[in-house]
Amino acid sequence: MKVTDRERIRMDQDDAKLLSAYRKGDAEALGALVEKYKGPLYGFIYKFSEGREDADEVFQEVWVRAIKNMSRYRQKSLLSWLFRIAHNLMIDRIRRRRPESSFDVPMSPDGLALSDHLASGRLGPDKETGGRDLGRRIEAAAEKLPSDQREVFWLRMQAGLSFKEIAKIQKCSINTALARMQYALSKLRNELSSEYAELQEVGR
Amino acid sequence: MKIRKIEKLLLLEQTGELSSRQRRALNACPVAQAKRDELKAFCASVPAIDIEPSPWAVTKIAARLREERRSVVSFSKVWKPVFLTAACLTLVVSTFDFNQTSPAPVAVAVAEVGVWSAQFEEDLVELESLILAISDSSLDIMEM
Repeated sequence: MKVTDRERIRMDQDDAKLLSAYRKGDAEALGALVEKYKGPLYGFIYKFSEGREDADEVFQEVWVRAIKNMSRYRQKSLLSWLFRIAHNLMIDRIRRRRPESSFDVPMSPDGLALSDHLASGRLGPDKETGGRDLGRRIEAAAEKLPSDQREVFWLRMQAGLSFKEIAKIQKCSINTALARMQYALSKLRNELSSEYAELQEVGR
Repeated sequence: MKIRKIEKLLLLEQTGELSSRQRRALNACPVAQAKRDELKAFCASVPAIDIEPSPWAVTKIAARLREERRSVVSFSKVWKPVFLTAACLTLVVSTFDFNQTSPAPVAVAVAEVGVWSAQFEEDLVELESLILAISDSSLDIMEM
């Protein structure tokens, strides 16, 4: 699912009906709800977890928490709320695993932060991707971004969330979310300078 | 307009969060279109994360939710009668204690007042007789 051609998913009447049906005992309604949002949500969780098993576990936990606390749900977009739960859950998990480490503070002699280690365990470096595929190069370069910027980047690009929604998830202002996105783009531009020149040609 | 400002407005434009004033400013900028196309091309190059959760995800979620509900129900089934009984016992004991202990201080106080009054009467009579004994005239004690 790409943001450019993705239909904006909103908490609509269908979601409310599905939730109501699930509460009344219709197990298939839950399946339909999970199916509807699994693409962007799982993709995002996968980007910030330690592989498939870990991502599956977080994905399930997000849904369990979402359904359990549905009475507290006040937002317009269910997807945005799911992302908020996922964001909080992943922060909790990282803190629990390494209580002495901050997510972004360098923890090893090579200066890499915990977030870099988490990412590097799964996605291969540029050498592995060969550097030929621009998409792969962007993905690899994005893994090197600080966690806040990386999160804004993927929430925008993968989930297609608005900056207002991203700001709510990250508990910051819209301007901060925008600034993080701009820093991310700027760093990616520097990282992919040769490829970016081609894109600038496209722009002309 | 600075490039950074243009990019910010273009990002807001992508998400439909641009105000009409910002839109006018962006449209008036000569380099906006080139930057717009560049950003669009970049966004189109970002790969979608085509990865899906385990096919058993829904089954596992449903099972966990059932388990959570069951544990909440069993908790209330076990603890509700216990809490109710405890509340009843507390009420009974506190009422019982109140009825038992409240008359006692009153009775003690009445008894103490009785003892005190009798002694005072005795002392008063003794004092009166002493005064009479030492006085020259036989005046009534009340006249003194």
